Amino acid sequence: MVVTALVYSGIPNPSWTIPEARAAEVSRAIAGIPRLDRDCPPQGGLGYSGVRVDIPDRGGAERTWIFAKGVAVSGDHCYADSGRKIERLLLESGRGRVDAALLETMLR
Amino acid sequence: MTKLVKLDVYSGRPNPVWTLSDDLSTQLSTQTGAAPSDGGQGLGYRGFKIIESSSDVQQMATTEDLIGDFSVTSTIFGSADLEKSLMQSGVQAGAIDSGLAGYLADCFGSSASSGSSLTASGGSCPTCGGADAPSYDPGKWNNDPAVQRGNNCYAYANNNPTGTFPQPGRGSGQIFASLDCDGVRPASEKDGLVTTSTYQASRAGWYVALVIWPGQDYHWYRQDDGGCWSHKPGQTPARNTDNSGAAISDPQQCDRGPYTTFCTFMVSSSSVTIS
Repeated sequence: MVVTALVYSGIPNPSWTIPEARAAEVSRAIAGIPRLDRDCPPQGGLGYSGVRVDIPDRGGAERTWIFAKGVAVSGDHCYADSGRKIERLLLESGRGRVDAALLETMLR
Repeated sequence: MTKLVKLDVYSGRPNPVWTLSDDLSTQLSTQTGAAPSDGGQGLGYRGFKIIESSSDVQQMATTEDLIGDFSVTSTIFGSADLEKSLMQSGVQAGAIDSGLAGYLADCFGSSASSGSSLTASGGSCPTCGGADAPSYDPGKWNNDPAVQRGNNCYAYANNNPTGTFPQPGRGSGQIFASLDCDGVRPASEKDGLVTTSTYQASRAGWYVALVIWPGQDYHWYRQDDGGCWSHKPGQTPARNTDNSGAAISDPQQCDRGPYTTFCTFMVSSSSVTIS
């Protein structure tokens, strides 16, 4: 399970692999989030715009989720990430791998 | 657990915070529904955050640096009546002064349309001076996830989807030495870009613009054949709007988020080498 903070435009974004125990926690959290019956918000912009996680399945394919501002987007659907809980969980998994000041800015 | 309201409006200084009254809490729970708002983006008013703090909050705390760890449970943005009620409660709590209240009152009516959409509508664009300027074609960059991920602002500005997340200078053998104007500009010149002081003269190629997030990153815009500017913020979709959702008629003047340093205009062409 690979996490990428979507924050930079020119240089590569910070990206890291989550340890297995934390990956299981993330998978459980994602399995329980409610789907929203609404259009997904636009993504992107300059500066921190969310965190992406690529989750491999047993068949070798990947499912991508992007968490930002209390909403998660995967494919054409969006979901509620109440209180940015999963977004923060993903960002926290980068502590020690991402510049500390930048991490605090993204968590804010 | 204490329920608080945070007014998300400042960029540098701490945002105002105050305690959410029981009456307002009830009003919010009946009117906001289950779907969260995204809040606004960019500089200035971005909404009211309803937050829960696990810390022992001081009774008179009025800024977010006094409340310790907290989590946002919902965002109020684009609901003028609720926003006015929340603003009034902030004034009564002493967290919002009269000047800020006046600014907010002007924002509430327009907040629903001030989001950060990817495509601009209307607006006036300057004349395009670049004879070879590309058309704005976001689908070329956004429809294929691999293309979107593998190309950054530098690939987009040079209209060359290399898929390598190209870096200034790498195409000519020496990547930039520092994340400032004096580091990135000469590296891109080695790739074939030409520095210019204006984007108004008619000439071959097309105009691009270099900006810097000091010490963190660089970013590029390009002028399309319609005269307005577009860009691709990193691995996120190409767009022709700034961080406030407005069309970009001049990258010196638009909302650039943390990329506060404008370096220079430059000219790109099909002979520029990037990798």
